[in-house]
Amino acid sequence: MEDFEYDVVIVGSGVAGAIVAKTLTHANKKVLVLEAGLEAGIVLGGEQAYRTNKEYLQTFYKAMFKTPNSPYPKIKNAPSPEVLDVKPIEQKENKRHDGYYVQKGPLPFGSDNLVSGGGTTMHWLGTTLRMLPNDFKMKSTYKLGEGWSDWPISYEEMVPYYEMAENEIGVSGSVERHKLPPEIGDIFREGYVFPMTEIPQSYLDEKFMAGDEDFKVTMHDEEHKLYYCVTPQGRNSMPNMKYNIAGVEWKPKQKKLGLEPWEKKENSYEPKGSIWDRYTGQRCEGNASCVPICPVQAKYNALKTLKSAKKENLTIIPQAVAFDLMIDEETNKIQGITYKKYKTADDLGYSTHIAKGKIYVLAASAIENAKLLLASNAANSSDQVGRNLMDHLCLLTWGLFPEKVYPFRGPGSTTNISTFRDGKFREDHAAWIVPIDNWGWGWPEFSPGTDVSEAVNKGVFGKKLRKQLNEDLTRQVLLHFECEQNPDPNNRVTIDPIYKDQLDNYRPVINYNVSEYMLKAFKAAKEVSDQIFKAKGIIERTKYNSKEADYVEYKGVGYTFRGAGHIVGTHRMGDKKETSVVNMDMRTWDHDNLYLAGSGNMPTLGTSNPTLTLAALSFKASEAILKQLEK
Amino acid sequence: MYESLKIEVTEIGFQTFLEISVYLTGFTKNELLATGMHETYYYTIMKEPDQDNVREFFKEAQSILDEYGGDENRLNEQIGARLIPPEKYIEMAKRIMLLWYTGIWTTINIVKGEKKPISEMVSAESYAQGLIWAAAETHPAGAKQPGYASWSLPPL
Repeated sequence: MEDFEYDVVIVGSGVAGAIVAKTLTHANKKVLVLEAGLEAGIVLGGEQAYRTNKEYLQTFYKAMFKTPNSPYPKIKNAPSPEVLDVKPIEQKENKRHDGYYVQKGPLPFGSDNLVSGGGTTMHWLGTTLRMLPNDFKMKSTYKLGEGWSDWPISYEEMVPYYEMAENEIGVSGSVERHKLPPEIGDIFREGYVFPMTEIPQSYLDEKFMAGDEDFKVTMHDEEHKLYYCVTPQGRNSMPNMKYNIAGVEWKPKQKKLGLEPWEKKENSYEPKGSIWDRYTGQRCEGNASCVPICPVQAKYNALKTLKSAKKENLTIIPQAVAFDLMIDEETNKIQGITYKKYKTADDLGYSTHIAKGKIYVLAASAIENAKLLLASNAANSSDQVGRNLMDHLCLLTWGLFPEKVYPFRGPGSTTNISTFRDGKFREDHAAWIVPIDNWGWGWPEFSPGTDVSEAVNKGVFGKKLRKQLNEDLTRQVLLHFECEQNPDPNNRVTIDPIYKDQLDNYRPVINYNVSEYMLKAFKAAKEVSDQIFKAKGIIERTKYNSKEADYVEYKGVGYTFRGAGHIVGTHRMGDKKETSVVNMDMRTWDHDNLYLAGSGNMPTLGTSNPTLTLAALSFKASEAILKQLEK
Repeated sequence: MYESLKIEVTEIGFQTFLEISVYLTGFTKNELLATGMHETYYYTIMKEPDQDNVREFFKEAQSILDEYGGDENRLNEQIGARLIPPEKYIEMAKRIMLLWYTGIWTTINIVKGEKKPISEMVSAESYAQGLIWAAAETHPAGAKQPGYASWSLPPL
């Protein structure tokens, strides 16, 4: 194993690594995937996979706090961040730094990812929105200054890769009902449909949207309609009979990936169910627990992509934590990746090995990729590795709807308000998307559990308790104002030898803050929310509390924001090696045989969840890798 | 449901626990029995360190039921005065309500005069059987899924 040179070595089996692995194995390349998570978590079928899912579920049911990582094993030898560890920065010497991140502040970074087979797609919500055309050219369109950087590719160039990603993930949606403000124009190819028809909007959505035909909100003295978009998502619904893409194929003569139509006219899209049994999870069943786990795997996870790789070309080594890239001093080529293979999740005891390939791909997540590069002194002639850490900063607003809307049902969100995803105001403050949340006040208030605690603490009991809970819980509505964070070189991940984990690997050291670009957005967003609540008769219950971890003040008003789990920017793409880490093919400027995959590549985040975009980029990177291998 | 008919119905508090829970939770006896958690919850409470307190609580609860059973208003009045206040029986009434509603039991140890609570989800089953989901007219998140598109209609 040690001496065998693979065509490609991939670090990480999340959606980025899985797409590269699948695409390359089907093009007859020999691929090695190193996964830091447990072996049980990367078994791709059969009874063992079923039992692992059931174990995760049992852990989830018993968890006191149902956070995104709560079902999954806590691995001392390969730790994941946990949102419960996100606390206000301690203002003292000898701070404790609980958890995995070392938070240097001034504000704590609030988002997590998951170290596991399948990566963060195990716990993601499943929303698969594309970025918008202007998101790729923020700097030039909105005359933005230092820190901002345009993508080296345009939205138009991304379109075929978005279609590949939507095919691989299996997206349910409606192009006609994907409502965007008219100024944005059509973003889908003429005649395009998603693989599956839309996930039905919730009863809550319907009640929320009712009566809006003439309603307008005012922002900066301009009026705006509310545009409601049916949210496309990687969650099985009903195959769309008009969809005619069979899959992605490497075309060696044209040196391109192509989207292939069905061979036979009568073929149609087949939803991919669970990895243990294809008949389970063929359609969403309304478990309403997408974050953190889908009990039937109707929601996409990257294990499904790994499972459909060409097996004879794929080797997976689990419990393998990459820690150093070996670099040839003369050629600057990567010669190998050293990794520690641990025996059990928590016991000390590991062996060290080297993985060798012609080409290397880091797909370990934005923060982990940056950390590994810094630890290896690799790919950083631009000094941008680890910098420009960005997230969606979610300003949550919540209240009681005038009638019962029955939340805590269905997928986490089925509709979003797209009105403020783009516009001239981006010269001045962040844009945002507003998903309507179907799960009551769960996120900010840990409802419904806290509601019964509070009532009981007030001495309410019996039929009165039941009635009060019923009347409140059935009317809970929550909006997210997910604000696109601006890139800032001082928001960054670094390493420090005094902060290491049990396996003697670096912990990420994070410096993080919010700029006025964000604070102005919070103010504007809250004012928009206030107008919406007033128009719909929603009784405001939003509370921001100065003791909360990410509490900020702007013009005398306090706001608490929460990290959306959309971690991007730490090794961005660009057209110049002085200001970026990778080129438009996601190959590092500094090392000819090193590619970086994942959301770390993104120079801007836009207002969409990054998974679909990073999946599209993974197809693009795969294409470039195949071109290079077959030169 | 009642696999162990070998439980002595004279076991202190077993029946009292169920009866008083009806008035504490606002759910009927049948609804509580339908969760299947009566035994499990009873035995959880029987593991409480201060068993004298448990016995006193059930004794008081039973005496209220004996005296005012049949008159719901008087019952609620008495429960409100004698069981609900937090200083009564180390918050036993509140803990029982949260147990039925959320499946979480809070043990309270008294160490040097201070209350040291420890909360734990009793079991995976207790999570799914929590009354809070019925109160909210929904199902437990991650369990008892009501089916494709059910979320687009009001609950049955």
